Amino acid sequence: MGLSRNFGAGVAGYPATVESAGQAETVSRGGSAAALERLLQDRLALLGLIIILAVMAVAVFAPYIAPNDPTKVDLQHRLAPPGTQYPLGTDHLGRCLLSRLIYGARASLSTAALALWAIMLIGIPLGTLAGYCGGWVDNLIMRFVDILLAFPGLILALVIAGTLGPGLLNVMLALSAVWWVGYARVVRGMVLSVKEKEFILAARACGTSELGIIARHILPNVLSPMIVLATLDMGKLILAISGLSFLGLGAQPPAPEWGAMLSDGRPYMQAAPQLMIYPGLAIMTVALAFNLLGDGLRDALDPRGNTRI
Amino acid sequence: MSSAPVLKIKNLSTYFYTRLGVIKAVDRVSFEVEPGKLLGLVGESGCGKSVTALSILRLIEPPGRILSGEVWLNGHDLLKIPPGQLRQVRGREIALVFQDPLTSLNPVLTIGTQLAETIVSHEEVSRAEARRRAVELLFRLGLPDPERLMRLYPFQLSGGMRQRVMMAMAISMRPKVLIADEPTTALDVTVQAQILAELKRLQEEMGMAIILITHDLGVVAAMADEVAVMYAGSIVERGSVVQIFDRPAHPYTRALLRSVPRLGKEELVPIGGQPPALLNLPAHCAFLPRCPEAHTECRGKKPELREIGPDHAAACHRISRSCPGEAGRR
Repeated sequence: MGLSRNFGAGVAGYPATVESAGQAETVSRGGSAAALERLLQDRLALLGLIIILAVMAVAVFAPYIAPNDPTKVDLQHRLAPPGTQYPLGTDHLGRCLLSRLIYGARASLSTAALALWAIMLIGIPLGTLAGYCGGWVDNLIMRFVDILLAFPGLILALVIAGTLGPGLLNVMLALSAVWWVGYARVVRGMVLSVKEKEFILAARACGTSELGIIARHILPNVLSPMIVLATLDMGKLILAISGLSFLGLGAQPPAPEWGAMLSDGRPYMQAAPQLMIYPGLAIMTVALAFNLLGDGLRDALDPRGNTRI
Repeated sequence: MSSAPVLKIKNLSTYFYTRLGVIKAVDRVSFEVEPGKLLGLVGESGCGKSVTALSILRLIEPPGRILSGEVWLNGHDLLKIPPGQLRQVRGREIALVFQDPLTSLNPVLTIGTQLAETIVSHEEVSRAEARRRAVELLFRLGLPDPERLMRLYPFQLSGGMRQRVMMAMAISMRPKVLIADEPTTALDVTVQAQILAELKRLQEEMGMAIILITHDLGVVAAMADEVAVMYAGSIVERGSVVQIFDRPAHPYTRALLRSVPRLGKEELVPIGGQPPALLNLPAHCAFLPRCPEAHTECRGKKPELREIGPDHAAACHRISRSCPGEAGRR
């Protein structure tokens, strides 16, 4: 995945060395500022970032933006075409499609973000533990990871979500339960290589405790690839959540959710294709935006920095 | 030996258990350092100097293992104290300066963070106080504009500056013993001299004992009080700097001195052959295959380090107690 070589933002980005601190001013901005600058120069990444921020704003201010109540049924205007009252038309129960899309952003983003936190909360500590301790701890954790990896992730999540019962929270739990393995593996690999570095030995020689070494020396070195991985995974998670909702395991009616909306619109695909087109576009746009941003972040945070192929 | 040694190492052995066999990286090494003195630990690459240093602080990772020995500091055997206490000793009582200052600084943390962290991990001080002391330390090591330096990352510093930062970190707790593992190897010559002068100055100011690990005999001659020469995991000769340079007793030491370039000196004489692989060392003297003075008796048991004069010990069968340095000479 090319992640294991990312030790620290912008380390080799500036090959310049300075003889006196006086000259240091020109390069004294740290790795993160330089990385941000590089990110902002990347047009596609910037586009992704703008889309994400816009969708986030829409999600946060949904009650102020949405023209109608997303759950209000108006059977007289079922499957209405776009018009003044319903800008994007209505679904089979006469609910405002635009309002549902706007509120749907809330469901998708918040579920994906929560799932991502849960995934990182499980994956990063377990991966660190496996990589740092080695031996039987490593074996135990990684063999368990191997077992989970032996199943296709989404199928397993489907089973778990099915067992727990439908609902966005359960989808989130199911996805977290299978998704963390990827993080554990990546983190473990990186910890394995970072812990062999001489500065870890130097820290130990200074009397730093094991926990201190993990928290202050190992995790910061693992951070930047984690940011990239998490950003890319946001897109994938949104897709997965929509997918599970489409199958009826996620958001339950009448709650608006993009995947569920796709599913609801399916029987009317020919009469009112907008019922599937707009939620589909919404899912695609957001997933794409996260991927663009993730790619941009990977380039920006790469220590080899400016040289892009 | 005038005053009581601050660090005393007895019969230290560290072996590495690899798939190919046992590597005796450090084999029954004993030496001691007095406060305020500088011991030069000299030897070729791979002779066990660095492993000795790491063993003193119990920093050996598997497959390496410290087999036996005692490391006495402040009335404690560092090889026996519990890990928590050991952590207090590391950095506080004994500090280590590594060879390459770039790889021994964390690339993603600023100089200030790393320095302050060392202080905070040993003393109950606030971060602000730790940072203030860090600035002071940097200033003390002759680094310009320490305030700004605190905010820089290691890659933004030159090699000499980084090594000064490492030294600042090492002396931050005023350790009794400083182990400098080839502190100047990665630097260019002019910076080397500055760093060594800095080391000497700090030693005089703080009265700490220094173990200087190096393969540079010139540095040892200029700085050391005592010298220990290592070969293939063992100390082959030990003595005061005067003894070692004026009356080298062990054939290896003599060969080493002959191979150092000096102005106006006759031809350089390299030591023939290769240093032995530490894997499966022979039972006899490890230097035997390269020794110009080898004799049949050398094929026997490995010679022990023994006193051959005041403040002078060597491990060679050919040296008689009465006339050190005369072995094999005619």
